[in-house]
Amino acid sequence: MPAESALLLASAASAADGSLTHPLLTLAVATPLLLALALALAGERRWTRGAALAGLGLDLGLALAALAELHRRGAASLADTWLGGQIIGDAPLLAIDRLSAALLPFAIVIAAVAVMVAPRVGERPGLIARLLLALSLTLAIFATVDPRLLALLWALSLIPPLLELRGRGPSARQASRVFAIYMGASALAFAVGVALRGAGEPALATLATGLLVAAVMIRKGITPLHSWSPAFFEHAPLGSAILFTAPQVGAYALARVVLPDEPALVLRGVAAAALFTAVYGAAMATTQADARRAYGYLFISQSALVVVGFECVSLASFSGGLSLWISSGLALAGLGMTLWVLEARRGRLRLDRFHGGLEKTPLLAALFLLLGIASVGFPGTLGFVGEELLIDGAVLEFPLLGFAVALASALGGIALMRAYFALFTGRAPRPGPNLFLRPRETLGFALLGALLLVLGLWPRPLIADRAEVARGLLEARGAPAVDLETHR
Amino acid sequence: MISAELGRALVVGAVTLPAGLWLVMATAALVGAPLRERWLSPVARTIFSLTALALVSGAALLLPADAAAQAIDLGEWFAAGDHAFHLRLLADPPALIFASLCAVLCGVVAAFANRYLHREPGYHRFFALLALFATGILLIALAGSIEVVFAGWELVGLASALLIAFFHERPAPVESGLWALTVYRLTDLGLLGAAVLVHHFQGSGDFDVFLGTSWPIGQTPLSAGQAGAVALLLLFAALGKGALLPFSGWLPRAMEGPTPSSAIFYGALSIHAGAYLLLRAGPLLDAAPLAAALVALVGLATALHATMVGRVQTDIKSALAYASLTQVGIILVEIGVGLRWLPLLHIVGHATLRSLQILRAPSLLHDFHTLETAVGGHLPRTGGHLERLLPEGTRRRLYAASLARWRLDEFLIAAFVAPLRRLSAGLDRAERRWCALLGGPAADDHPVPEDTSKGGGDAR
Repeated sequence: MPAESALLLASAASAADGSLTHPLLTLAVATPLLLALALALAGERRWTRGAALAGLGLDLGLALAALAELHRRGAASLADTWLGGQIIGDAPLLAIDRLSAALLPFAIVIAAVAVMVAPRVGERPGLIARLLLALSLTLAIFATVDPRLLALLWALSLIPPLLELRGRGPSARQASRVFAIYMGASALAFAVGVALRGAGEPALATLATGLLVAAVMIRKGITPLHSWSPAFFEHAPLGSAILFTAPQVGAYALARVVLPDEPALVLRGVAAAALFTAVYGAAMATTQADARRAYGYLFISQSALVVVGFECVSLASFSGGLSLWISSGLALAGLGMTLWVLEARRGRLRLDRFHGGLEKTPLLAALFLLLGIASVGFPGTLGFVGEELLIDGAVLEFPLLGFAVALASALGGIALMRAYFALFTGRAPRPGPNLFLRPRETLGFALLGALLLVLGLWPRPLIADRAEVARGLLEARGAPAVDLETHR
Repeated sequence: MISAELGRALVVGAVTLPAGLWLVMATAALVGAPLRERWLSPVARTIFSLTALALVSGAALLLPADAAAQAIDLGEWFAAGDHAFHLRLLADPPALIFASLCAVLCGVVAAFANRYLHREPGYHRFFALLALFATGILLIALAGSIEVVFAGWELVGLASALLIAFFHERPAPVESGLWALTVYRLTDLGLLGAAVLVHHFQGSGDFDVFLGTSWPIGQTPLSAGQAGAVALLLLFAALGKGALLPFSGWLPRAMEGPTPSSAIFYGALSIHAGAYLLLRAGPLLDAAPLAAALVALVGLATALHATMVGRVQTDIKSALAYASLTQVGIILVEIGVGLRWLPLLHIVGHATLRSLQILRAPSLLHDFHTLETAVGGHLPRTGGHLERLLPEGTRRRLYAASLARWRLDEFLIAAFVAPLRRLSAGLDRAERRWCALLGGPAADDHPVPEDTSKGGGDAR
């Protein structure tokens, strides 16, 4: 078994309770996949959305059951041996630990809200089946312990968004090619990097490190390897784009494959690039004329902060980065989905004129604002907690980090309010489009907003859990976590 | 002891009441049944009255108590390793006095707005934002740690920007709201930076840790250099919220909002938030004389600027805004020279008078017409004594500069906004060219935007 798998399952292998008694993970990954196949075969029906939501409810239950089992047993990780036993005999293919156990429900919630709010107009048939397929691949990535399998799933997960881009026709040809080049390079770099790590040669190991870091930076949209991202958000169907990016698979690969073994200098370099991305993306978002492109820049900016925490300067900053993973994923996904439903009603959204409609759709405007301020770390939301920990934990070593994170948040806030004013204020055309939210849309956005508010006002359980994950990863690196805690 | 506990409970209740009103309004809107005006009006008036009553009662119970009884610890908010954040309120004399003022004025404005905005399309929006603002300003007033100040500070900023843009069908209020928010967000970096530094120096952002326990004579454990650095960051934060030089330009623009919000935000409370923050940080200024001198200098420059510009304004709300700013500048001078009780009383007196004046502003024209009809001509111009002391040429130049409001916004846009926009537009073009190189020419209907940095008088 490769070193990373051994690392992940170190305690599971030694503990008697290291295996799940039921194939919860196999079922969690397979449920959306089977559902996607069934819905694709059945075609568009009136019950498609309801069936998908029922399936996702079941899937969420499975993921939460696996999470609860992990906590109940107090195990560091739990393996699902059923799938591995069926295919390759002995080694488990799927497992969760404290890092990934929370990521499964996180990805399912994003997908469930996407299914709830997915518009009927402006999308190719089979949208919900494609969303479920993308979710299944993401869940498989989060539950994978073997880096070789992770590399394979990494490559497979690129196919749905690529097909979506191709499906948009000539207008998305450029974005499609750029996406294919960047993502093809990332998949190849990741696969070769994983293969070379086991070679044992120092030169090859250095090359492997470079390739893995490049792969992660591309997938995460970190400057200077981010150029696919604004173009992707500008042209891809928004729902698919959000499901591809919001779970932040790049951060997972960084935590799982790069972080345990690579030297601090490498992590510091990635974090510095991510910090630059945070400021750069926010500054670019403030001046964009196209709403999708502005969102794309805002996305790479705020989600880059997750990686800043991976510099492992202190337990607090690492915990901050890990909680920002959840908060930025949920909030940015929600913000993107509000754009999605607004675009379905109004067509392409520009930010260089006022669209009006605040009085017609105060609820959508308020939810856009709520999810937006949660994206940029406004006090009272979970993002604020993550940013506070990130800054406070790392400022001793890097005072500039605190300033840069705060600047990114400030610029992100300006970009957000500029978008809000452009999209919802002004004189609306009369008669204008019907802007009222459907109950399912209201429910989806309200659930996300409430989750971010509740976790922002009562973040202790989540932060305590993320701190435990951070401690485990730091210890796996061999870093003196206790010293890191008391560095002050 | 029981009275102190009751006092603390009343103070906590006062902070949560406006937040509760916002929550009720938000929930009602979510379930598709927003409160009708005839229900919202009495509910809002009751909530704000109860808030004021709770705070005044809490003040009566807590003012005689000792410092320990005035500290309200609401428990640990979150923690990772040895980094713990506590929710703390501090109900000491300046906090209780300023918070009571806030609660009373919010209640008065809510009562006024009930008639003023009767059947306005944004009636609900106004009250939701007023509740958000009241929560924020009470958090600033009663904060026991710099993190709680920051939370309130951001709520006030957001509510301010949204209320400036209240009449959103015209572009001017929206552009003014965005400009105000831009200034707020950038100067808020000072407050966040101060919070980070305080944590760095002392390991905690609690006031009793870095400001001492007995205002106004508390002593900070920070060295002079550390205290000066934190104080300067707080001054930077105060520049934005207080519309102090060089960020005064957003204040007259903010008068695009409805009169009740202008009264409470820019005449009474929001504009004093920066001064109050510096007043709270008095021990830091005592330990850092250079920072204190800079506070006084900024105050003096702002007062001079505001009194000159205010004299040439032709609309009543702008004239009152600059009159407010003049007083805020003087309050900063008082803080800078080491006074503590006087600026606090100055804030209370000025906020009360100015909010009354701004609330009366819409009917002032009617009063003037009545008076001029009664006297049979124009009323004599007053307040020109100082002007007559200046030579004609100087007076003309000052008049021209004041009419242009010293071109402060133009300076900020030319120095910071326009270069950022030019840089961003250039980088955007470069990214698009790179994508074209990789993926071929774009065949869509979204052309490369022109460089929009030229001729920008607005914040877009």
